[in-house]
Amino acid sequence: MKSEARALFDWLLTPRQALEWQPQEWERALRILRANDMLATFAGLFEPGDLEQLSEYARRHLHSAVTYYQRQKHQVHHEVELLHELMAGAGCHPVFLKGAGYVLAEDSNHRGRLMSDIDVMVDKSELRRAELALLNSGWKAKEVTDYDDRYYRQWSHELPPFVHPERGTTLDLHHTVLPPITGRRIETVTLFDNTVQTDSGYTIFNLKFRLLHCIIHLFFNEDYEKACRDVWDIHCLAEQFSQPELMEFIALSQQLGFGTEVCFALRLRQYLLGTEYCDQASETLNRQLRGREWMVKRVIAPAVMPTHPLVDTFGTRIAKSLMYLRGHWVKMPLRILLPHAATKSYRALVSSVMGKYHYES
Amino acid sequence: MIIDTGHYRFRVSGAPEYCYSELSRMYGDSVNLSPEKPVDFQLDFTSTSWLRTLVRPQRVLNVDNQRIFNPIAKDKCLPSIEWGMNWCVASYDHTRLLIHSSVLVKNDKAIIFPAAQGSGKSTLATLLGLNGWHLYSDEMAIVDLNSATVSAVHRASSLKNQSIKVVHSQFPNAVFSRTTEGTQKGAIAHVQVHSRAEFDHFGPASVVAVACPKYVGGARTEILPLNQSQGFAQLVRNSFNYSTLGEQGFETLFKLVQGAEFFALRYSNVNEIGDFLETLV
Amino acid sequence: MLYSHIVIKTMPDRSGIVVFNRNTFTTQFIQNPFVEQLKADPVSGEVDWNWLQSQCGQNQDAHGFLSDLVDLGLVDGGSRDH
Repeated sequence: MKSEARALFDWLLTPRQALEWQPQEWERALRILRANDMLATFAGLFEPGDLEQLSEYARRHLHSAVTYYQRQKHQVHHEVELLHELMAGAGCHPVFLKGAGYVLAEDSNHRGRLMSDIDVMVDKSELRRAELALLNSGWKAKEVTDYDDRYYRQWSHELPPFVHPERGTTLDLHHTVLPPITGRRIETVTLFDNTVQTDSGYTIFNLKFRLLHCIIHLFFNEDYEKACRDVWDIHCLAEQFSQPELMEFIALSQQLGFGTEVCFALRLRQYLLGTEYCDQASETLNRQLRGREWMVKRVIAPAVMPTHPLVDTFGTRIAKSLMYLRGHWVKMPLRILLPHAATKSYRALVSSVMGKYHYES
Repeated sequence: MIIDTGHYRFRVSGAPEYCYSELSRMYGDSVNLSPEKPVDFQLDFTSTSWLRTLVRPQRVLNVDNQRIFNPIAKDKCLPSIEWGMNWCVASYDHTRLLIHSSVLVKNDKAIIFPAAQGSGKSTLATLLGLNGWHLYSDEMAIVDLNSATVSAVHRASSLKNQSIKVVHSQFPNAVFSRTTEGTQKGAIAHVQVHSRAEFDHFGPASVVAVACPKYVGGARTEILPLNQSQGFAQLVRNSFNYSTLGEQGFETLFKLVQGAEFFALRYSNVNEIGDFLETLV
Repeated sequence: MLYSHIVIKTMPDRSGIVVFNRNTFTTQFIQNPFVEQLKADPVSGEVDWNWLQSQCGQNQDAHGFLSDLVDLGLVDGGSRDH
């Protein structure tokens, strides 16, 4: 891993170092941050007084990123309001997840965080009603191939995405947090037991489950292109826990069968962001990860590095590919994986030989 | 190679060799200007796949991690650099209001020509820019959010198909790039309208008029005044980032509209239009 | 009177009013003959609401204009009835 890849996490921890940067360092940093959707986040970490001291060049790019983010944030608030009303009208009880959840909870990571879509969860029994309500009020199901549509409905934890043609928003409607096909699950009752209402009356996960979901999302995803953002999300959420609360959280995750993922995430935080844990917590992490510690440094950390030609290495690319394969692997048992992989692979093979855009023209 | 266009500095890398000599001719002293200064955007060309490299070589244009266009044949890379520069600005600059239009300035007064493709705005702007007007941009009005003035960028003007011949016949000594045939938009060439030295004298200008041009072969010159509501709507429709800027964009456009007259133009004779535009500045 | 998420400006040439909605980020154009008589700040384009309300009693067109704004959800209805 090039040190500059890791440096991104250092920039987020101590943004004031940027006050000393030369123009060329700013140029590189701006490119890497922007490519990984972290530029507005970085901008949000400066005090107003510090921002004024930056060069016009830096301020201009940061300001553009923040303007764009503010527009999105505004849109999210508006969509949440509309969706909540729509769902309530249909007798559904939506829980707002991920980005929308952080915005509503005002978790520190919400500042500057770009969101490409809104994630909402309803109980499986409400799914059909929710889907119909969406389709009846202007939302359209995004076009996916028949094959993918079947995959979504049968094996996944979410329906194919919805798009609102006028507003351009994308919506993912979930009925649980993990694809059932992985064989891992959290009882719906538990999920809904761990929700809270915001002051405005919207439902989100409580802090423990926001963190848990974030960690699950990191480890059950295929796409690690922008995973560094997930690491920052995890850090900002975990920071809100006291050490005793953290111990409780680890215990809870072990009860739910996600102890390993959580301990990997906490260890990753230690490795990349220098977080320190009390002795008790460290011991718990050691025990849970016994024999697998090496994966943090060798596989997981490289996979969550920012992606950019300036910092990509063979190692980070391999790690991201491995996690990509793994991401698919855990989402499907072998008998599904092979036909799915076979279909996807044929296309991939043609694409790699003929060029990625062979199927589009 | 670095291209300094004033507000925006670009670095182009990995392009086929011929592109660099073409860009040098187009951009003159703007090339590699102040190399110690940072760039705003970098355009990187890479190849698509190992087989393609052998069979029909294609390049992909990336800005950081993003492939911004479908792959391009080697001989069509030059226009994609110009489009790439536009893409970067329109996607990432939200410190100014950007309107899809040409901008001509005379006597420190600006006229904006918002229009979709095929309206002839670039041809009109180029012909007038080579003939006494200052072409601030053939593609994008760059509007200051506070003052609603427009400022210039040092860019080559782009011409398509017939326009290339038309401009060349009237201004055979102008600096043209090679013509790239067979792009999605037909044949494309670029023209240097102003040198860097001239450009350096172009300061911010207040907008006195907004004219929506429509070139129709053989048509009589028709000038239809529009009211400010219609004009405001046209500007909104043609903005790249009005929606992102939200209320700030609204306030800026209102300020711009306050000081401007609006017209729709239908023409085939550029000189007559030129005469009319002179009366506005 | 005017909802806080709405910004209304009168075009200087009195061809209409333009409305910005801070919630939806949409821009609307509204034409109404009464706009020609509308009292508005020459710089900001802001409508003089007190003046408009005072006109509603005696001027049908003013009342009609304000009703339009209420119907479009830009202005709170209570202000129409004075």
